[in-house]
Amino acid sequence: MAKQYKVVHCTVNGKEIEQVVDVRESLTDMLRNDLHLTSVKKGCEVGECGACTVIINGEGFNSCIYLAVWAEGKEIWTLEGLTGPGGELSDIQQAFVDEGAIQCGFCTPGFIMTSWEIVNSGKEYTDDELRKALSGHLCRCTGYENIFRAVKKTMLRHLGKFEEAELVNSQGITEYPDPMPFK
Amino acid sequence: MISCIINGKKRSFDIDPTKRLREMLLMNGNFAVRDSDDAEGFCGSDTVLLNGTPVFSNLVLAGEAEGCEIVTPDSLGDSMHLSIVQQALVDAGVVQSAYNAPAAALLMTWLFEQNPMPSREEVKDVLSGIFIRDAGYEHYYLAADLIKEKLATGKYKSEIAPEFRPNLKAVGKVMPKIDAPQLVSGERAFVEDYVDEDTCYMVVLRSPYAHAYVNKIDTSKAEALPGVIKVITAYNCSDATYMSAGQGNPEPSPHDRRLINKKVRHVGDRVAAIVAETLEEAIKARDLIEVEYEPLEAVYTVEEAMAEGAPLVHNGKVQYNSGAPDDLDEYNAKLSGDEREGKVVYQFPLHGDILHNVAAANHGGIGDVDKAFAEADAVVEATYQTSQIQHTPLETHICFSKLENGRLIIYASTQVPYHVRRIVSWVTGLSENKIHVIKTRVGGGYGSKQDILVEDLTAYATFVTGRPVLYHNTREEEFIANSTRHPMRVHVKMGGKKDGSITGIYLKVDANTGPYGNHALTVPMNSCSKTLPLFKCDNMKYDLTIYYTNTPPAGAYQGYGTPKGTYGLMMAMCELADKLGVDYKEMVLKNHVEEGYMLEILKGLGEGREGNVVPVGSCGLREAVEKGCEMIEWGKHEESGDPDWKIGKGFAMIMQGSGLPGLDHANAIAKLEMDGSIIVLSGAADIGTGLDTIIAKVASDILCVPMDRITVLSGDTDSGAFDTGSYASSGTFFSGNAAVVASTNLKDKILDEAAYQLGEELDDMEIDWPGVVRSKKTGKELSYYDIIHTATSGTGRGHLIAPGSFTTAASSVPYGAHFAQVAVNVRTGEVKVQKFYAVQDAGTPINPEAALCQMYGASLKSIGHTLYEDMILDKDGRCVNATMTDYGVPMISEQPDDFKAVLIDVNDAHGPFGAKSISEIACNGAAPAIGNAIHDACGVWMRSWPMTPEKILRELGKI
Amino acid sequence: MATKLLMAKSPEEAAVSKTASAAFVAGGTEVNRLGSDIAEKAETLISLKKCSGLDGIEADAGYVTIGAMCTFQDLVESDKVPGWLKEAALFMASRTKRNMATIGGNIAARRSDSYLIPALSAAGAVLELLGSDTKAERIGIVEYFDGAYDDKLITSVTVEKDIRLVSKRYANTAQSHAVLTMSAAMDEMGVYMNGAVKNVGLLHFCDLEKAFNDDPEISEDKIIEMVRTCTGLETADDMFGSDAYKRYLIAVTAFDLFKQLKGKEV
Repeated sequence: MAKQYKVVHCTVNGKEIEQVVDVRESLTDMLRNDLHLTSVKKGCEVGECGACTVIINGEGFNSCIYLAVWAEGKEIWTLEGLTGPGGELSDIQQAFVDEGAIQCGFCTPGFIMTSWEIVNSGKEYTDDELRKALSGHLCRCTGYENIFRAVKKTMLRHLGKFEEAELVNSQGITEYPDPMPFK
Repeated sequence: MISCIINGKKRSFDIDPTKRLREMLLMNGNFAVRDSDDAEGFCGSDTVLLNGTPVFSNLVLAGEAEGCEIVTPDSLGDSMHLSIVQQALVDAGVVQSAYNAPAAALLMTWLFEQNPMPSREEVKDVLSGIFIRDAGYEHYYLAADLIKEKLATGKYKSEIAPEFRPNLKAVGKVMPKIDAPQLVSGERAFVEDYVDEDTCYMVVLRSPYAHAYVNKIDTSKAEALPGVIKVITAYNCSDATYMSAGQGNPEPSPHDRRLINKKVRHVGDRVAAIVAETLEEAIKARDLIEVEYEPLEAVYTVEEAMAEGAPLVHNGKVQYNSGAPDDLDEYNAKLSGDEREGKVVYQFPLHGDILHNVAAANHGGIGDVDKAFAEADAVVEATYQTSQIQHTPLETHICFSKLENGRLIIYASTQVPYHVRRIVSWVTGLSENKIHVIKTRVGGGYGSKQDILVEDLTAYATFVTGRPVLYHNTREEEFIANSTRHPMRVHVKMGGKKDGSITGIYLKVDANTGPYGNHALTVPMNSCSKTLPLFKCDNMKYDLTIYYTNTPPAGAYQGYGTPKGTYGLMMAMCELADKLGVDYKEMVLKNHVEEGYMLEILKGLGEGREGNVVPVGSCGLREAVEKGCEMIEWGKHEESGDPDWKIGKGFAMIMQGSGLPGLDHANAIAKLEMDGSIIVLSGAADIGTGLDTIIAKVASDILCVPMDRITVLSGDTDSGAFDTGSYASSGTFFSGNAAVVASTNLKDKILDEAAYQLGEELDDMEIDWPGVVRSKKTGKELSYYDIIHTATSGTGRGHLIAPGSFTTAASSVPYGAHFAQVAVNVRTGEVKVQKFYAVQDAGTPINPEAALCQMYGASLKSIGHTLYEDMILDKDGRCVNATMTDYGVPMISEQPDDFKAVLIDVNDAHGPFGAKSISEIACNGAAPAIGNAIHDACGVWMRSWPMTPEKILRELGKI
Repeated sequence: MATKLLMAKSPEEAAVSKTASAAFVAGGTEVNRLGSDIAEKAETLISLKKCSGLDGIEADAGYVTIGAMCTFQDLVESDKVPGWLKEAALFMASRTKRNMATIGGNIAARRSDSYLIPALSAAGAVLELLGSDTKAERIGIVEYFDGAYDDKLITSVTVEKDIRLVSKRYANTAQSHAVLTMSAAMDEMGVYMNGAVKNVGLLHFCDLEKAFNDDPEISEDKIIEMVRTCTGLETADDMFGSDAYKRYLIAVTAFDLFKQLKGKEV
């Protein structure tokens, strides 16, 4: 069967690119193999584990079940795009580091992209809502607690709630000093 | 789309048809099709078979390969399944630095497919298309014989090399180099094979002026180009002042350069470094950089540099880290102090005087030469001039660096991984634990990779951009911005008596170190310290002055000053013999040192500090002279039968060193692995010479473990331990001895552990093949597997790991003599080297066939610098012959018709298993041997390099 | 920088395609190598590698006609090629290069260190050319260099087989560029002497021919003096040698070659 190719024009990590792709290629393969953005991981290739998550027009998607040709005209961000030009980590990345949320690191890029969407939404998620929002990601090493804590703290900081962020304990529960919640 | 058949498989490529075939082959992953001459069609590293015929793939266009059948060298066999041809090259010892050994294997394979019994002439013809720099060509003829024998009878018949030390199984035995299969089959081995796909490329903007200030540099247009990441200039780079020589810290070379200077001091000096995402974009950006130069008057020779009122190459500020003279402030007041000049920092006094363009100096001697000359029956006084010679390694300088988790990872083709790490640390400010230097296989060093010439800039580029960066010298850059021999004016005065004894020797060397002082003191010092100790003479004096000039930079090159000193002294000696009417051989025999003679002259010849006076140790000099004279039939005059061709004979005695006593340092760590096999971690840098094999062999014989159960990991600063590196012929002696110490320490630990496990006395334990410990008392045996298994169990005492370190004050000097018979055409000046015999004592040659090939390779290089090679500069300091074809390297046609290397068996007290060094010394003999032979042939003294036909004709009075 | 490659299938197709912005590629050792500006300046490269009919060697009535795409190695291996031409081809010391370089290409490149031109000139070789009008013509090789035939494709070279011709080449190493390549041929009319002098060009040594023809016993010193004082010779000091050296070498070589010819049987 003859191969069919198409040219895809899109913006990746702020840079306009033009890439010839096989029409059956996944966005994961285009990002990893053609653009050398190897932070995007292949964990299952069927859209279950979330390791391949990237941001497309502001929303998180599993790039393994997203055809490369669908990226035409879209704005795509991967983990490489969150790091500053001098290697500076964004706050969500730093939070993952500080909270010990990284063990083998394989699920980390996907988790961070989803978290980035969450913390920049302007919305304050309840603990349950936050867990649900992160449920599309599989992590085998950490047991999820540290990840949850990192995302929650960063979300609070983005909302200006710095003191509350510091009150999040090791179980991810905000320990308010008196029985009345702030809100 | 271009379709063709590559190695029997149909392939198609989407490539511009005007691109080169080699580029298409790289797309196909055939990276062993290499480029050593920027598509000049000279070196043959890019050889492939096109429709069954060997061609240069760089000179074939991709479109021309449409429908063709192509065979590349990596198809002949992989490292576990070598073909007969590949195995024969390995066994003959010619696979050394081996950058183009796969291409040579392909040519030989092709030859044998045409004709299973090729003659020597046919072998010579097929190899005329390939440039071999490391091993010479002689053992390729041997490999051809081995292939013929293997094809006809199933086994080898010819003797590959003599073997030594019958009581040892590995040391002294002919055995393939452990990296040879990987190299000959074209597997991943060199820096260019480890480059990541997302690498960026760096090119360097180089000065068109020999001497100029860089007042302004506008990089805005370059930086505006889309793929350009950064442009590094003197105005935004690291301010560290350092030097490029890979030497022990504190270095005996002035620190006189920054990463990029605000003043350029030679044509080709760094002006800016451009990092871009593709090579094309980097080159385009380079052309857009605007530089305001302020040209200055330049000096190119020592005569110009020392002249009254000469322009000063360094005119900034002088600093001392120790030993500053009292008048330093007054001295600095006389200098311009111009910020653009930078500064010159001495780690300790080198007797430099930049106000007179003196980079360093040394003076000394013993006895009273003036009295000796006054009392002599004849005195000879002459000046000899040597030229600027380039190493021309097949692999030009290259470096790939990247950042991983805050650490700089540097893949370097280097002789000195630890010095690279230190200098990169100085330039970037990173501590050494954050820098990982990986020495890959090296495609030819010869001293040029003892200088840190590209790793500093490449690593710095990665450091400031965060991106992986690849830098690769073009061949032209290899000539002009690299390192070369120091051109030297060697003035010799020698006096002797009628009985042939030499009463006094005065050696005055004025050396040209180019614009920077790397190796400025030490190379010229060798011209005295590795020559004068050959003589049993009580009155010897030397004056060395080394000058800065604006020629391309000089640095370290195999022999390291010794070839020039030997040339002057041994020719002067021949002139003296002639004047006294004494036979030259008799004079040599009368005046050379022997074992036990106290070398008083060494006192002043330490590298910037006091030298060690030691007696001569093992010395095969007399034997070498006698043997060579016998081989060449010294004393018998040869007739050519043609009145135009005159035949003459000459020889010279030579010596070198085996590392630097009191300065070099080596470490190794030997580990017993879980199945009783051995891993040795060595800090050494095997640059193709076979050092890893030497380390494996000494471990094998000490630990009684067969060679295929020993792995040597070397040249990696993370996994090894400190070693000063491969220079000064220190490999076998220092790194080899460190491996001996580590292996011995491991052996002791094994014995101790065995005694513990058996519950017996240590004294009753003995080690035996193939890795067992036996009790002499009870006969009980434990294999290494048993021992380590127990030692690493839940109740075990620990993994058996033993470090070993080696330093010494002892000097193990290799000796020898090189003999030449030449034919000189007295009408046209042509010179043919008919015979060349290299006779040397290397103590115990641990790798005999590799040792012979080192001798052939170095001898051919020195025949090159004697007769053909020369970097020619025009009046503006530009090298006019910076290509392989114009420079004049010897290839197979220049090999002497009768070329022999002979090893004298002498056991040394200090070397590992009695070994001494072999590679540098073989560069020292050709020039005086050939010079003396030319005189014997036609009566003229050739007192400068190269000894060209024109010069001979002038001496003969023909023009 | 050339952007187009035309793989010509026939000499006619190649000749017709030759315009001012196109260049022929024969073996590739000249056009494709480092430092060659031919590929730099041309827009289209016309490769002759797949052209039919350019690589034959025919012998007929004492003459040999050699296809322009015959490689140097083809010349060495063919028993139809005369020994003097094999010798000139072997001046190219690299076997791999001989596998690629062609006789036509070497003539068209007109290098002042050419391997074959001195011998072919002394032998009075005849070239067959094909113009872009697909008309063939035959001219002597000397006329080729004098005239404006750059746009024409050389299709073959014809030489006389049995002539007395000797050559000599001087270069630093066997693979370096030659400072001097000289050939001398002799027939009943006299001696013919041609040479290639590096950085000067392709020379026809008429004065020397006349000197030898007028006085076959002329002394070497006279020849040396003649060349030394010759004002028409534009040799100069350069990296290949001094002016004086080149003149001396030309004279001595001329003398040696003539001596060889006098004593040489065909």
